[in-house]
Amino acid sequence: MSAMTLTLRAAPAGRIDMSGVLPETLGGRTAGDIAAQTVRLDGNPVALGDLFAVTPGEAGAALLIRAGSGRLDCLGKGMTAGTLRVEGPAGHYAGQGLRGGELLIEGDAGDCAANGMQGGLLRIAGNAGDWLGAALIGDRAGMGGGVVAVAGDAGDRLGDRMRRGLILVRGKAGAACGARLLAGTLVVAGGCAGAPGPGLRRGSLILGRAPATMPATYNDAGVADLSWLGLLRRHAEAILPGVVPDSPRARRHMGDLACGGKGEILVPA
Amino acid sequence: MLRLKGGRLYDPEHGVDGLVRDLYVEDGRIVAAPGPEARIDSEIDLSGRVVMAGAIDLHTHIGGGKMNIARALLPEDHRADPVPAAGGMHAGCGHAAPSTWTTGYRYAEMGYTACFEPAMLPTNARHAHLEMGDIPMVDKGAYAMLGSDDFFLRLLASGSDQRLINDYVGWTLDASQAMAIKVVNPGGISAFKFNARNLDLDEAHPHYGVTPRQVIRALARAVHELGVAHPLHVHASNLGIPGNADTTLATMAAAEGLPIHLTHIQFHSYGTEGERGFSSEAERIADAINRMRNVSADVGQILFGQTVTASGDNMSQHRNRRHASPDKWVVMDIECDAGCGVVPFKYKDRNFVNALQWAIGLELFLRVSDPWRIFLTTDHPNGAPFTSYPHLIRLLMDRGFRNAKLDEINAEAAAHSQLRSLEREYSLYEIAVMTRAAPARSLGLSDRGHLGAGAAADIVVYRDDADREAMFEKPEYVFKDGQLVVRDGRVVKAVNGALHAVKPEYDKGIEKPLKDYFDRYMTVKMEHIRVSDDEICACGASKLIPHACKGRAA
Ligand SMILES: [Zn+2]
Ligand SMILES: [Zn+2]
Repeated sequence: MSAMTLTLRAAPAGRIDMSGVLPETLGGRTAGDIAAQTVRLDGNPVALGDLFAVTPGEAGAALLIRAGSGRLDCLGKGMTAGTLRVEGPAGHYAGQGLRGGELLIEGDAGDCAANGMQGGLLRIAGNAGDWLGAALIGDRAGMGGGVVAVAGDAGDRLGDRMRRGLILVRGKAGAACGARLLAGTLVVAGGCAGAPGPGLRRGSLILGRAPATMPATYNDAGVADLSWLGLLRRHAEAILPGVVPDSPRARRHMGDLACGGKGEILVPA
Repeated sequence: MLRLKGGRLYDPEHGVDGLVRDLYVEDGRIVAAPGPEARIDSEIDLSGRVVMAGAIDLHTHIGGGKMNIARALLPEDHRADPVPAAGGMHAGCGHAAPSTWTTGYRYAEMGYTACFEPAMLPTNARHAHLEMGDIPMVDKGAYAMLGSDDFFLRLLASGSDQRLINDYVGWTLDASQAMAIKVVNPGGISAFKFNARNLDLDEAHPHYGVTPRQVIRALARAVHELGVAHPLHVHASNLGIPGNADTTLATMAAAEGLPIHLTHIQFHSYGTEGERGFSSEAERIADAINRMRNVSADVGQILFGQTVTASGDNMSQHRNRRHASPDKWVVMDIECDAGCGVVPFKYKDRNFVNALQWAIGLELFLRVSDPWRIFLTTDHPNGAPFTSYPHLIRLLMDRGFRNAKLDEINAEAAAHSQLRSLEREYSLYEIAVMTRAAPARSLGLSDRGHLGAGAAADIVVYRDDADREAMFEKPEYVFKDGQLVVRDGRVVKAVNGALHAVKPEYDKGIEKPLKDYFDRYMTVKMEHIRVSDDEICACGASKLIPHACKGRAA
């Protein structure tokens, strides 16, 4: 597959919906053909070529989007295969419903990234906005599979209703981290603001730094040696090194007791 | 003045069956052919084209609360069918439960110019009017739901005089700005809340002691005596239950000769024969309709695919929850006024029951001989979204197409059905009857549904195409009140339709006991229920079209 490079011509006048601009849909097409594809600028149809310079890239390389603006929404939405590299920031809904392949964002991402993600890998080199890995609007479950790796910080409601998969955050998270978590594993090396895990049902929220106070609906279950933390660390090192704590010893808080209490928040012992 | 020249007209109200004639339009109305001195400002040559009045859907769930619940329940329905904004049209979404704007555009793009919401709870009337006001392009109206509301059941249980019931029905029509009265599972919605899971036509309500038959009789009489054009609109008891055809026939008889409309009759034409205990009683039901001149019906055809069922019939929706697909559902009470159930559903052609339901609906269409008394509906979205009408029209008009579809469905169901032996093919004239002239007449819309002088210029022009689905899917021109609003199946001008409501005469003295009742039992005051004339336009309708009723002596 010969790759393509899309370079934003100028700061866009509104928000661009990049749905459908994917390695799998662009592969095998000529630059002229791709330039004629429609995307939406503030809801109105516009030719991709009016907004971006479309040039052939190196054979075998990723589809590259030179963003230069945080107004590109829905990057990698519903992608199933291939690699999409975004040079610069991403707007909202990056990697929404991602099913496979790799979406690499070399800047910040807006809100609702990885919403309803089912598989694949999403990497964010900068910070992520609110609702990372949460549910698609109206859905009852959030991210259902795949891996999200954030080198910077994440916003509020990280992993809201997440059901499966792994989210790794090297920095810190905002308020209500791991809210309503259904299952899956959420690791935040830098700790989080406010009370973590409201309504958390099952799954593990691993914080590299203990919060100032634990919510009253969590039970201190003491310090435990959790051998699976070692396994997780080995797995995670290959994706985002230094995020999972290097000791298998952790203090375990069971909760949220208001919602069955089958989940846990782990903090350094 | 606009001249539509040389089109082939199908105008059953005037017995016009494919005559080539010119139409003249001025100030939003069809006018008689002017003299040679008249100035023709524009002319469209329609030679070879089929011309009909705008189509009227007399039973489609487009507003009134349930659809919002369905929308909230089915985000996937919206995600899978986004409609971007374009050329003055609002963005929208949704296949089975489309947004208000999308609803209006899609109806107009099929040549519909009026749609009637059949299940408006009086307590929900304000919301229903706001929602309908949001639907562009088409005229609208709504039927107020009575028969399971506490006030009415108290009146009936205490043996109140029919005049008092008439006053209450009149007040309800007036206060809720309704076009007709609908009863859903008579008394059954209320009985469900008293833990009954079934209520037969002659079974006493567990609390009030009245029977569905009494409810139908009292309401049919009230509607008739108030002089409301549209007969009592009945969603009968025992919806969807094998063997319910007996109930349906008994329901027709319960009207005791007064006009009665049975809705989505396909869901009420089931027998219990065969190995699976589920069979077609379409023949018996159709025979009864053919025989009883006081009965009309709409079919509620099912078509295969994903949809959502939304009904006031909490009892049957609670029963159907097991079939929810995707697996989620809502059943609720609304202010002791009635109830509501929303169950997403996927009709499958390989499923015996669904396939037979499909065949039963078509059998009804083909066996009822008088197209003036059977209407084309899918009970949108319960049997299928309204966008499937062109497909349904082709099934009725094209026997070869119908039989080819019959080959694709569950073979056992196909073998059980007599559909293959039915040779009838609907003509364009009959389609014009059942989708235009007949619903207009049934609703008392004297200036709609026809092409005579004085009619509103709601006019649809089709290219004559042997593929009737393609033909009815994409009219070449649609005029709404004389304005060109659709060209080649796409909206070219967004307009707002009017709201139709009846204005019966009744004794305002009913407000005294009603006010006491609301003060004592309800969460809002009686005055808050009333939707004023001014509000209708504030809600988005272009205007309120009142329809006077001529009361009939008891
Ligand atoms: Zn119904
Ligand atoms: Zn209905």
